[in-house]
Amino acid sequence: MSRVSDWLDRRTGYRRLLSWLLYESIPGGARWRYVWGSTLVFTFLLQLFTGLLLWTAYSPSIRSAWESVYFIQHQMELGWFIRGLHHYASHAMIVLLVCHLLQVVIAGAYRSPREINWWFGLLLMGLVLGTSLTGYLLPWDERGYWATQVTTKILGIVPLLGPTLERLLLGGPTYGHHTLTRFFALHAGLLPALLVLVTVLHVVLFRRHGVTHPEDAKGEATFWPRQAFLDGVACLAVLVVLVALTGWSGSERGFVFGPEGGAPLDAPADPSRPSPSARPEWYLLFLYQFLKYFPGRSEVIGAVVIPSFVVGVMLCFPFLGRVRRGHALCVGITFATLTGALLLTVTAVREDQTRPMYQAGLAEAQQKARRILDLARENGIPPDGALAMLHRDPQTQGPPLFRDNCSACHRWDGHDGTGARVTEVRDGESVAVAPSASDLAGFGTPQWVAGFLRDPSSERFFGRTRHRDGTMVQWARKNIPLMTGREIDAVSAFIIHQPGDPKSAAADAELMALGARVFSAGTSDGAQSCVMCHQLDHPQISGSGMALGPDLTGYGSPEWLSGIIRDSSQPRFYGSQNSGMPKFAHRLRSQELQLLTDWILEESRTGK
Amino acid sequence: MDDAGDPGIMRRREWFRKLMGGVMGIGLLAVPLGAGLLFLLNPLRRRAEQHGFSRVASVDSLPLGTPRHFMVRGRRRDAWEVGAQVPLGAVYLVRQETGIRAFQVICPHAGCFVGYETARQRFLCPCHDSSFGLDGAISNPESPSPRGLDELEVKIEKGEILVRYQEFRPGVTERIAIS
Ligand code: FES
Repeated sequence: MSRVSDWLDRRTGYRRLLSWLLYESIPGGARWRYVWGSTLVFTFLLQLFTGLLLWTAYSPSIRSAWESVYFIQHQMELGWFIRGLHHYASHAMIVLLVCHLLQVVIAGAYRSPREINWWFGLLLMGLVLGTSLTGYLLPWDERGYWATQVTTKILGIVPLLGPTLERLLLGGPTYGHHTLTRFFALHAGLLPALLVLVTVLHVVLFRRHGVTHPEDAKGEATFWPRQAFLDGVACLAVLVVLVALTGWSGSERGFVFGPEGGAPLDAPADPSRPSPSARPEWYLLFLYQFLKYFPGRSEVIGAVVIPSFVVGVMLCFPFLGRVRRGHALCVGITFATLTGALLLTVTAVREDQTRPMYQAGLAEAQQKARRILDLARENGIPPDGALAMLHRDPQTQGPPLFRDNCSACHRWDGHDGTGARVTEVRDGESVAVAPSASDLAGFGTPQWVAGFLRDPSSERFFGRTRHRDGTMVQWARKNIPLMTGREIDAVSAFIIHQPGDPKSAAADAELMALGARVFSAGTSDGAQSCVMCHQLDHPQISGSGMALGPDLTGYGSPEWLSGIIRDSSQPRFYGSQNSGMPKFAHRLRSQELQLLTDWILEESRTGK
Repeated sequence: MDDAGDPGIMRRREWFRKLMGGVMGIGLLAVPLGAGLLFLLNPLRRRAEQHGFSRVASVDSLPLGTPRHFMVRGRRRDAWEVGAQVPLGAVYLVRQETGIRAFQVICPHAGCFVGYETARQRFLCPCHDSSFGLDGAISNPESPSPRGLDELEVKIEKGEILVRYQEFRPGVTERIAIS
């Protein structure tokens, strides 16, 4: 063994390096308070390692970034764990940096002859923050997208060079593919390379001057083994905390060690939808909150001038520290800054807790994130990406489409489709708007038809339309009392479960036969048939009346519904009886029309 | 002849070597750095798309006095990709007795998507609480936003609302379109 190491040493001289590394003298002996630097190095190495792993699976473009992160998180073995470690280790670095900074300031280690190392330390802090900021955007999810918008826009207001720098960082006038490729190059290339370089310089300089020990330090020890042991214990503690955080999923769910735990992932970024719950990471909330206090033109003061000033003052610590009471001043400034940041952070969190817009946004964001996961798990992600998939999802798109196109007249269970009341502003007062057409919740189900037959003039149906006293209402008044409940249910089921309806095969055959009889011939108690006014192509229906009402062939099917939405004044539907429903054929793109009809029918069927 | 011992010549040779070393050094750096710089500066040449009017919604689908946001689609070039009908962003449409106005949803403060508070009838930015009236003007003087919401050009054709989509530089009092 020793022959091998002698051989190696003659050729490399590794023993000198090793003894330089291990036998550094520590006046006063090993102490817990010297561990911060080592824990930072350890966490940084962990970041390099997990980062490299993530790199093997990440793809930076606006149609693959979220998708690849989703795949890491939910499909790859322990992907959630690697990503979780990477995420929480970045938080840990901030915490450890602050501890390290405090230790250095309190010990006065920024003073001569260690000035340059103090500046290196501040530079390292800046690099770490830059790495965190660029990393936050990479998953291209809602929170990362919107929070980063604020950051880059602040860069844009820096006097003179701001707009140019912003454009260079974004890789164009607005966010796009090159924003991601550039952020990724910074996050995984330039910034870590600088971090490694400056860290090495930082450590070398540190070794040159040694630890800053208390003046009355007695005795002397070397780094190995006592301090190395303490450092090892501290690093282990960091790792244990990180692993625990990776599983921690909030007080409600506790620890979840699996894809549902780990780092959060919102729905993919969508510039065309609001995301009021998007916030920067917690350690930047204080800056975010700070911006609230600088109205109008003074924004640049809060966003750029004051933060730069604070950094400038810290750069001057080595000189400040020389004057009388200077050290106390530096310690004071550091604590004041940290306390200020803490207060701002607490205020930001408090304000969000009492803000309805934030809370509603949070709930919506969580719901969206869950929905996209379901979709991705069910069918995989199509080549045009997860956002396009979300834009094609009736459950997501239906409510806003209904609100924007239908809720001026129709309602959905009393609301506008998204759950909100329909209101209008008259003379400065917000007043509820009464619907002028039927409530479509349940449309396309036998229950809806039965309800309609029982009372077509109710407000849920024709009550507010020109058909209020029409033929249908008169028919119902006269004939419904002559029908049994079963006959009403039968004819309703018959109208909905026509051949071609996916559920028609499962429908009760006896009930359907009864429905067909009532539809074509009325009831034995004298109720008139439906064919008097409505057509319906069906093997069991023969003959037809005057086609006064809509043709019921395929009633409640997607084809029928989209037909009537496209143009309800066609002879097949209301013809000249149309009560003013606009033609949507040219208003909705065909994909939107399909999403809307799918949503109405699906939502009705599942009874939500 | 052997002039190697001549101190004058020695000095000149030394000087020449240093000069050549300098020139070579500059050359070695200039080629990759110069090329790299030009490569990285490319985004400065990219221009934002100048959009025409695109259809956004129908007049009668807008309730009176309550703003709604709508997605706007249009042509967009993003690095290697050109799309004809891609989502560009969103606009608020406000219908009032006097007509229809359109506002960019992006907050002029620092770029968040502005929300609308139905109860208090005002736009409210979820980020730093800038608030704006239905006319887009700043309604609370403490709002951090340097200007009111950015209004966009609107056109009504056959009951359809068309909007010319644009984005503006945040954080400044003047309205400067991003180009
Ligand atoms: S981004 Fe709207 S208030 Fe700051």
